[in-house]
Amino acid sequence: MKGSILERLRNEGRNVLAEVEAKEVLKEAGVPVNETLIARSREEAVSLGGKLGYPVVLKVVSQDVLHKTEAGGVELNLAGPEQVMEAYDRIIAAARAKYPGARIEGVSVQRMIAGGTEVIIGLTKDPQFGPMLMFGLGGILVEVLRDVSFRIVPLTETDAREMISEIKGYPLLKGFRGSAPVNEDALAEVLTRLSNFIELHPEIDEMDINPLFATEKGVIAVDARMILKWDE
Amino acid sequence: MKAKGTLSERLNAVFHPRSIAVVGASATPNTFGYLFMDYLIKAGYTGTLYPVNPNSDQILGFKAYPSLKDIPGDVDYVISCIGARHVPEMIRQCPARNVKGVHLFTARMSETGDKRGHELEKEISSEAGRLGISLIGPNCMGIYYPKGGISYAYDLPKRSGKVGGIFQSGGISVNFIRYAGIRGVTFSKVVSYGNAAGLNESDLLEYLAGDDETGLIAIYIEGVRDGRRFFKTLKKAAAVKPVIVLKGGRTRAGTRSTFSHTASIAGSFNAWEVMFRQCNAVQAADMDEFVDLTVAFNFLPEINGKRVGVIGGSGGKVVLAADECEQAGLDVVALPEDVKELIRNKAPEFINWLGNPVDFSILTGAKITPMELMQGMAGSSGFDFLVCNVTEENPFDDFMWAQLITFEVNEYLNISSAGIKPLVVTIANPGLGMSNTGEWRWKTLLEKREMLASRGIAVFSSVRSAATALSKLVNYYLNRKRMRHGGAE
Repeated sequence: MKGSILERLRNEGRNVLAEVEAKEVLKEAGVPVNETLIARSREEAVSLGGKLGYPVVLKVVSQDVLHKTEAGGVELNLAGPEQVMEAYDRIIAAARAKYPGARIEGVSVQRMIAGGTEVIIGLTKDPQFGPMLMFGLGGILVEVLRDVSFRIVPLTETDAREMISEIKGYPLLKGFRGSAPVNEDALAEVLTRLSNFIELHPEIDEMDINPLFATEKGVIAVDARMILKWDE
Repeated sequence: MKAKGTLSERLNAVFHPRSIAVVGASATPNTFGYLFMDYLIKAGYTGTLYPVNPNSDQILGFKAYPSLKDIPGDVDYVISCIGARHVPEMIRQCPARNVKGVHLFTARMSETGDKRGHELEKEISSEAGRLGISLIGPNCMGIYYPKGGISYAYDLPKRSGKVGGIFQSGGISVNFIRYAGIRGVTFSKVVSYGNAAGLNESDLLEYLAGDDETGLIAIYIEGVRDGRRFFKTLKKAAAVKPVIVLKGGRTRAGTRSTFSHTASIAGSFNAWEVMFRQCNAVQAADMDEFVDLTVAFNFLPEINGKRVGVIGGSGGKVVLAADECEQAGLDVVALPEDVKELIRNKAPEFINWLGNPVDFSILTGAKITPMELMQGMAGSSGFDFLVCNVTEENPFDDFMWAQLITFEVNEYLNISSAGIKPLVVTIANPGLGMSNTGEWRWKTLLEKREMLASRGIAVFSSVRSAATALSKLVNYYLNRKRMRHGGAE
């Protein structure tokens, strides 16, 4: 299919991508993502929950709500239809209260992923050396410890492996105190795929995949956002 | 029109001029118009030299010409010492003399930060490009090519060697060549390129990476014009030969939008360090380390392990030596079994006393000589290299002190000459004063240092500096192996 998501976004002149669209782009880059669908009503949320399989996570979808968690816009581990309906109402109400006048598209629904280590993969552009990928432990650790590594695009396989093993928290990925080691091959593969994709798509200007869950079996992107910058 | 020929053909022409014109040459000593003439004469340039100055008939014994176009033959290379505003006219005269390369020592262009300087530099650069002239500078010292008798300072080594250099700063390059020269390092080709209006850091790096005379490259850099190209060029260069980099100028983190965590965290990271690491360039922390690393890579072969045997010195000195090696990331292993076997056979009473580092002072009267022990260590596969310390602290009188130092140094030299194990020597250099250099004790050590350097041995002034350089050297070769194995992009 030639009608790629990025082409569509270019035609629409879009710059800031929230979770759902960012994940569509990632999917095209070959990054496994946790399928995420948008519900525009509580009933739709319930039907999507049934389709994706419980437990699910609901998140507010709005270009105007930048910090979803702080706005009460995220509800985790919802086990069934009643919980989904209640959570839907709470999320919409909280977002309206915190961001009056925000354009709220609805609520995204995805399966709750349990287990695995949270990591972050990001992209930024250095004014001198161009696109650089970042890897580190995800969640709040990335903000507090800044335990991350960078590589300039394009990455070789060696680069990808080194940027994983170079962080201080690497022992956590190797399996710590009996926990299973994460699949480093899959992580390295995602990094090199992203590198290739970014080379082909210089319009991707900034990106956070946070968190990406890494397990023994593989990896899956759970949340992401992106900035696109189109040439004139 | 683009410059003629490939990059390597163009630069080969620059380094092998059959004739050089110094435009703005002068008979007044210690003006640059005089110095650039005199540097060439003292360095033994054998091509034809043409001083150009409208007000002189003769400069330093050479017939002078009023302008480039008045010179009766072809001029391959021009060194410009004239004022910035006269340069465009001089460039326009170049085609008539078939000039291939121009070095602009001339400054006061874009580095001044003013608009007219920028515009003038741009005009010169595009004119040179149009005429197919390779341009070096402005605001730089040009080329040092000892093999061709080309130099840009007094007293730079006349012998040629394998270190290539690329320097954004001319002053740093002169110091570097002198400091490394004292340590026995000799050079293939060095370029001080200044404002890089013509040939830039990436052009020069690409050229030296492919240059057969250059075995390793030292770069001093403050900024780049095209970061992406430099990254790719550096990566390719470091894959074929060691590239040692000293980065000048702190990079201030840019403030950017905080949309993503990635961008906000990236602000506190040094992209240059990321880049150097990714390319497997060897980064020097400061000028001293820059020289130390160049000495190490110049004299030592490829070493693929960090197991160090530490020899020489007594008592606390060997303890500190071991600490410093470990701190630098080296592996101070226990004496390997074959060395122990040797001790058991020759002098069993020392089997529990001798260890790594080896304190030779305890061997007095033993049935195993230091030489035998060293030979055993050099021959053992349990060590990747040896760090040999000169025992300056020996307690004896003049004659015996000097005799022991000589004996020790000669033994290191013999072991090194045997070529079975890479080794470096440390001789203290505590910052001698004028009067010290005449004292027999320091004089002896300076002589030993010089002798070892001239025999191709890497000499360091402390165990710490030796260990740091060796650790980075081994990392370079191990990384290179791994990167080759991991496949190119």
